[in-house]
Amino acid sequence: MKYLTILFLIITQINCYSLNRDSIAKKKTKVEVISSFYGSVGSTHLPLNFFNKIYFGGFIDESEKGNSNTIAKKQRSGFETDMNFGVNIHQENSEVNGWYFSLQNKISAAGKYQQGLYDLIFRGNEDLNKQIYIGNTNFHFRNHQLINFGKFYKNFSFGLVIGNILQEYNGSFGENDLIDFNSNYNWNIVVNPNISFIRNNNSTFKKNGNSFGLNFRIKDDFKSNVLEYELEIKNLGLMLLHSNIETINYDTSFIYSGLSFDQIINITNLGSEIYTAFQPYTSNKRIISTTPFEVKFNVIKSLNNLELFAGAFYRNNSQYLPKSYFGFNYRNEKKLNFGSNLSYGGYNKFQWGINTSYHTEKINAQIILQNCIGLIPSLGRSLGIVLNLNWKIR
Amino acid sequence: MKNIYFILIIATIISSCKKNRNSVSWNTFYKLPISSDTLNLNSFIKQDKLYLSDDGTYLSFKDTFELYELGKDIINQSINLDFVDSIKIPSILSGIQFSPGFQIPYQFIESHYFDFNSIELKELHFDSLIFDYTVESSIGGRIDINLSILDAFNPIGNNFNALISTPISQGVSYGKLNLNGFKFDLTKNGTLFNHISTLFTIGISSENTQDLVFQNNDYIVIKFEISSIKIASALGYLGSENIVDNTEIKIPFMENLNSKNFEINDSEFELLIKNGIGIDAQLKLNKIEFKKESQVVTLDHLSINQNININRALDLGHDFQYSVMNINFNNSNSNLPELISIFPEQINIDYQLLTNPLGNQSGYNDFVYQQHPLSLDLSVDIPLKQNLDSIVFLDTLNYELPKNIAINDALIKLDFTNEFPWKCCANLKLMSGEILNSVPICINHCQVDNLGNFIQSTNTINELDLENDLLIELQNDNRIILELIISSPDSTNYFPVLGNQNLYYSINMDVNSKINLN
Repeated sequence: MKYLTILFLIITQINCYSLNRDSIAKKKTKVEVISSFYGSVGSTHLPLNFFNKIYFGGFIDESEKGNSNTIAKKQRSGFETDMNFGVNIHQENSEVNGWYFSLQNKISAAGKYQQGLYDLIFRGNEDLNKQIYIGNTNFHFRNHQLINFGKFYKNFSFGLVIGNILQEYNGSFGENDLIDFNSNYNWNIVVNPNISFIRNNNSTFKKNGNSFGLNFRIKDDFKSNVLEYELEIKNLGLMLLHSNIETINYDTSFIYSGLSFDQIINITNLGSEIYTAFQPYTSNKRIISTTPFEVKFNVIKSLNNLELFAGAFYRNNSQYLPKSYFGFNYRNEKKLNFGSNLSYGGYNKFQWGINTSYHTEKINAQIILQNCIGLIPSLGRSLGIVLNLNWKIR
Repeated sequence: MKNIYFILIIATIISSCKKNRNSVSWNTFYKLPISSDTLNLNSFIKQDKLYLSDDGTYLSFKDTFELYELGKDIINQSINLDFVDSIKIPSILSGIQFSPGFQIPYQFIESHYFDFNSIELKELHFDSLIFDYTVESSIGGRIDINLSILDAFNPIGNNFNALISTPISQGVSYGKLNLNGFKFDLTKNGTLFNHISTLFTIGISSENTQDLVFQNNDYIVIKFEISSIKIASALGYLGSENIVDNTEIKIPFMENLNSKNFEINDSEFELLIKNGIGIDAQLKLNKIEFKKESQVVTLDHLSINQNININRALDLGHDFQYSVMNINFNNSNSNLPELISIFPEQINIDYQLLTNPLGNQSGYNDFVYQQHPLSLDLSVDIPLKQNLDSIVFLDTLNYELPKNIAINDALIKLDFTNEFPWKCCANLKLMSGEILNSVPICINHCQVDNLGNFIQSTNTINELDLENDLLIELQNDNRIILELIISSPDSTNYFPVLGNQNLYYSINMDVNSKINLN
């Protein structure tokens, strides 16, 4: 409901903005107000009800914890939102060339982990009796504000992306890290975490990290008008985390079979003592890494009113399984069109999506529902919604 | 249409207002190791305090505790070096103009004699000595004063010199003098005691902007008061003083212990009197009391209420010799076993010490050095060969459990392997008095032979099932009372303990809990 509400608000606000800008239409330059919203949540093993409880609160019962798979199974979970608002300013007397400018806010969080680690946190260690390898575990949470601007042509566009990093948390563990529960009361722990935090600060403009990247898009046909390809790269560049970087980084291996007698008789606050041992420290070191860039490649074939497409999508440094998909769009020569697709990847596996679009001379609107099964929260393990709305002002 | 549009916006905003978010919670079942360790005597007593008996069958605990120490304090309270110097400007200088920077060709010498009660000192050496001084002047310009304490020498033999100034015009100025490490010769060339001389010369400060003219009766008064003092050594006659005092030694650990019966084989206490001061003394132990709550037991021994003569230490220059005396307390010459068995939480020693009881016997050659005090130490030798009957250890443990974990029920598993000749039963009580364990949690003593020697360890396994209501109380109380009752095997033997005997234990918990995240 909340997502739908946000979508509705965006639609209404954009409409409102556009209606109030009639004066622009009187100028010769054609302006297209563009907006898009993307929100999705998904997991390879958790039902949507689990995320409902995490977000809205409540008691997570056993059925909402997902299936008990083999503890060695690799799992992924994540959520993301992407809001983009801007303008395409067309060159005089040209429908296809011009400049674009947009403000974008991307928030995402995701983790890749073994089922056993999830079970340890949400079910306990009673039934584990095995080693949990946490070497492939990594996670992130990020909140970036981006400014996109550049030039577009009929088949080609390019531009720059300048980013303010509000939050950027990244974590990973050493290759051989494990927690051994073979004996319930004698734990063998080998951990070498490498976790960094960039928190938001009070300054409006000067943040603790910045990014710089390139946008690039090409769309053309393969010598035949009925077969096209599209390649798009977004925000390919570098992130510089330069201030107030907090780090948790140590290399330890120990067998834990309880506190010693001295520790027990001198204990006052168990919680704070454990917390203190794992507290991050502020590091002066700067971190440079690649941006969470996105690459999309589509092949599109037109057959009468039918448009068939197949493609792949990848997002860097986000625990994202490269996604491949295929589907169709049906153009019925009316304003309202629709389509469907099947995909595999991302934070889920198979997804069945549907979409619909509405086109007039002034408005292009599109709604994509990424996984229809997700509408039944107890069954679905992902749900994603994409809304694109463009308003042309002449 | 427009109205509908705005109604829709408002309705949407209201419906999307942030609702109260509940905390996220879920149930888990954990098997947790709580504590495991190996305990032996070294876990509680430092290894260097434990000695193996000659026949190698048991360990003894030997240690020395400081009861009392008398050092430079013997004279500290009597030493007061505050003094006042007055400089009266000679009338011959009045009416004459002196330009800035002019040195008056005149010396002012003052002599000071100090009353240190019965103490007459030839020499005083200070680790630290700071004087606060005030300079009061009636002169209408700034005067520079060069102060020399003629009898104060630094480690390389130079006199103390300092430049102090009067205010720019009539009034008072303040300052500090640092004489750290200075040694004072208080004899005025061997003729007196407790004496120092000061010498002043004065000059017109170059800070004055015009010539200075002294008036008739112009004066400068300088007051010196000790701000901090630490005496390193003193030489002379240190006086005769009767120090009456009472020392309380608290043993907090003993507050938690009680016993029906506690017998230790051949324990021995020794009072060590070690005199590093160059004075004779007479010690009288008026009373030594051992207290347990309201119970007071007095030490019975021949030395109580008798004068004990203590000889002076000898400083031969190349060799320093303490005067040492020991007074022995054991099972046969005192009621020591009775005193030990009450587990005293406080020992009160009521004593008096008379210094130089025969007066100035050394001919002004008494001495006291900071590093060589007169000390009273108590040496204890307790063989760990004992017979205990229901020693009760009571303690309140404070803890704080994480508030975001609600424990539904818990099963605590206790596993002990005991090599000590002690049986131990534990009760865990809430502050309300409710006992967590329905039956005592007991650890059996090891197997022993007829002489009480260790043969084989015993293993004891207990389980403690904690229901939800008790757990809630545990989580809210943040305190729990632990009661341990320790007994030897049923026998009249003394049971020896060796350093290689251990108690292995592990405490684990199966806990069904609800985790809450806000």
